Amino acid sequence: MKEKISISQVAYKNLLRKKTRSALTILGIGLSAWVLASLLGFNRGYESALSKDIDNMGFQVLVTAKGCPYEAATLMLKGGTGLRYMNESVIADILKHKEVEKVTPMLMQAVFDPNKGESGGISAYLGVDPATYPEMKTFLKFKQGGWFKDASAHEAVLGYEAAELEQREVGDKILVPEKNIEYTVVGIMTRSGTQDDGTIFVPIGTLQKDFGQEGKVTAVGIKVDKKANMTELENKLYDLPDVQVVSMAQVKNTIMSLVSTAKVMVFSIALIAILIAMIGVINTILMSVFERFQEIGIIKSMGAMPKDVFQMIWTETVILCLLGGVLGIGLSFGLAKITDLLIRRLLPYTPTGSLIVVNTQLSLLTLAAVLVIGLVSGIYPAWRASRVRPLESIRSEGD
Amino acid sequence: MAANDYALEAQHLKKIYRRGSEEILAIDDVSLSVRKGEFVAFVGPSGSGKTTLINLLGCLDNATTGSLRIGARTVFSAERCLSESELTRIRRQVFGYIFQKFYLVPTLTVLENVLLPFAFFRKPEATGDPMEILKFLGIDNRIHHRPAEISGGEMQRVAIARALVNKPEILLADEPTGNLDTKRSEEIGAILKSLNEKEGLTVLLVTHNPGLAKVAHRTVTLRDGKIV
Amino acid sequence: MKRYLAWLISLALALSPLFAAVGCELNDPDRDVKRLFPDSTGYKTMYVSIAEKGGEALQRKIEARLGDPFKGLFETADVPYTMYQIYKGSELIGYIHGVNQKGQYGGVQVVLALDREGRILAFYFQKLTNQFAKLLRAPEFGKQFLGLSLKDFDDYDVSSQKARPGSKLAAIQNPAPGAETDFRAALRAAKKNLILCDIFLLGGASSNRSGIDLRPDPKESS
Repeated sequence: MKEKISISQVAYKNLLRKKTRSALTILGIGLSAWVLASLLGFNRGYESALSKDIDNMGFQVLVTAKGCPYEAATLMLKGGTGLRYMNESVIADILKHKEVEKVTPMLMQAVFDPNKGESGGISAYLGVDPATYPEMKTFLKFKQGGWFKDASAHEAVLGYEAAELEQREVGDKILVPEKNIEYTVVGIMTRSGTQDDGTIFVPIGTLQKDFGQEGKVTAVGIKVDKKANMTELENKLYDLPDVQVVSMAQVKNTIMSLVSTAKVMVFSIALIAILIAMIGVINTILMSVFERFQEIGIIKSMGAMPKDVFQMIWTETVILCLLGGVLGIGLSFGLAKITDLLIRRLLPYTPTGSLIVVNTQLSLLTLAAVLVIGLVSGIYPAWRASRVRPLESIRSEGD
Repeated sequence: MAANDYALEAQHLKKIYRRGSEEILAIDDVSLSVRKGEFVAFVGPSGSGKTTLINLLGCLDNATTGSLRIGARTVFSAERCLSESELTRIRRQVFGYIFQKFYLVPTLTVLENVLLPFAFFRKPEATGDPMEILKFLGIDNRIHHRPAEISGGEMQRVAIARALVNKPEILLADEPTGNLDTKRSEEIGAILKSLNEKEGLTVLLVTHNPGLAKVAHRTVTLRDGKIV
Repeated sequence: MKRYLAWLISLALALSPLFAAVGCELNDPDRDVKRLFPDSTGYKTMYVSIAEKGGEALQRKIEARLGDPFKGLFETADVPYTMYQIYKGSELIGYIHGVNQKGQYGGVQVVLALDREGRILAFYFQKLTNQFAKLLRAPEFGKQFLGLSLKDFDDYDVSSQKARPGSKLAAIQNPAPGAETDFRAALRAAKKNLILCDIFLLGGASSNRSGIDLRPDPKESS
């Protein structure tokens, strides 16, 4: 037979008194914890998915002509003008550096297509080197066909979206407007969820000849040796005349700093959710304290010091918050897929891969946050309870 | 008599309540002494101040003026009043309380209710087996029941057990039979008498049941805050 | 650096709506409806797909009527069809529907405006990539289709690309001999367009072979 009963046991049993009320409070905390865990998971998930996307670019450093690199956006606005080129000889200069493992040249060209959309639009083609480009982007898979082998063949490989738009399949032809040149489609890629989906790839030699840009490139992609110091290489590359060096790491940082504004908003939402939960907890415990005034008085008459009463009420709060926290974490695990779908609907740019990553570390962080909230919320009700004087609460009939 | 023979001594106690701008004199200059092992019953009409007096004697409240000694200790006097914490320390050393409304915790079993004081404080002298007390009170077969599952008489006995578990020197009972029928009231009276005679417990009882008051060694009658 | 970023983001943004299977919508519905039906006061847009309305069984029926199976990566049962119901006041006065069809160099989009009985009121190419596009896009070509209905197209066999001699379909001329592939594509597109309208808008009334009524519930369409 147990000879002892602890304050924690008493606290726990106190919560069982009004089961519905305790359950609802736990649910409220659980929902807030779910929001918090999901938001934290989203933060992490987005960042890692973005990293993966950037890694999937294949090359870590991009060297482009100084002034206006790539400029597809400008192409759409200005209609084909504004591109700047580098001489092919820059490739040899880049290869001189020992940190460079592989390079691949690229040429971007555009024409005005009167058949596109209402009043015409831009058709863009990316010239790539079949000897080096596919190696850098090994994760690109084909739905039909494959890469062209000859660097001067009149062939094209289409991203899935580009193919779907024009209903092209392997064996079909595409027509370059204005120049009336035909390319035969030899490969259609599967959806990759990156900008490659909308790209028309052509052998770089062919594109240079057909568009009169022999010896020119718009960009060189560089795969850096694993052991090399990337910053050092970038600095060396800056010395090349008339080029701009873009590092994917920088791109990622820039995007992340844009995203961090969103992060602030996201955390504000989480904070509001937490405040609401806190108020719920304070209300519940406070109400139960008021309902138990007499009992608390009796407990004091039994010899409970104010700190004992404080501990008892505080323990009740902590139990509620722990249970709510565990519920919330469970929800965030279970509903991660649904939340993922929801977010994809709402955001314009979502990287591939799982957007919400809730792991053990995150769960513990959320639990800790909820616990702290509980401890803080519980202070006032516990203090109020500890101040109850026995006589205030004990009343006797007839005197 | 030597000071050690007295359980408590009260001198010129006065208690004034303020209600808004009104002042109510609940206890008006009461002095009394209780010897160890004595059984005193406090009687009087409604509003006479019995409960207020017993609250003062039982260290549940501070008097406005006057002094109180419990055994060798001065609880309050003209020079000092005790804080709530200090009062609590004396209460748990000296007193056990039972009230008209049993005040059991509904979510705890009978046994857990009885052991509840131990969650907060256990006197070094309280080494006995709580089951002995439960057997003595005839509720050892109900230990796993909840208060809602037992009768009124049994609930009061649980409250008594709870009050005794920390081996108090003085038992304070404020209208313990107010919610019970005649038969149960008599049973409670017999229990109090037995505790007093067998265990040497000092008992202070407030009641307006004359039959119950007869069990005591002496009766103190109050009217309008004074002993008559 | 920032430019590269802008490129990345704008390209991604531009592509995101294409993540689903591609259908054919009017480039500018408000303007196009007014142009094709000058008397109209409004229109309702309806989205259907074979997958949700009958699945494989429905697809077989359509292929049988068309006389040609669905081909390739992009002619599938989950392609969304956008159908416009044209109103004058509360009176339904006609329909507009466009389909995608594989052409020689790119996707061809054939848009038909129909009256309540399913007869062609207008025919035009919303999209066509061809050196001889000008000739096919000229009004003279589209005029050849006016007044034709699905029954008339029964005289044209899509797989053999032959029309019954003396039929109305046989009278349709290709103004651009170098664009034979796209001419044939236009005929197939028109026939498929009429079949889809027949099934989803007209209740299969003019075809005794599809026999399926998938007309929209008057309360249902968006």
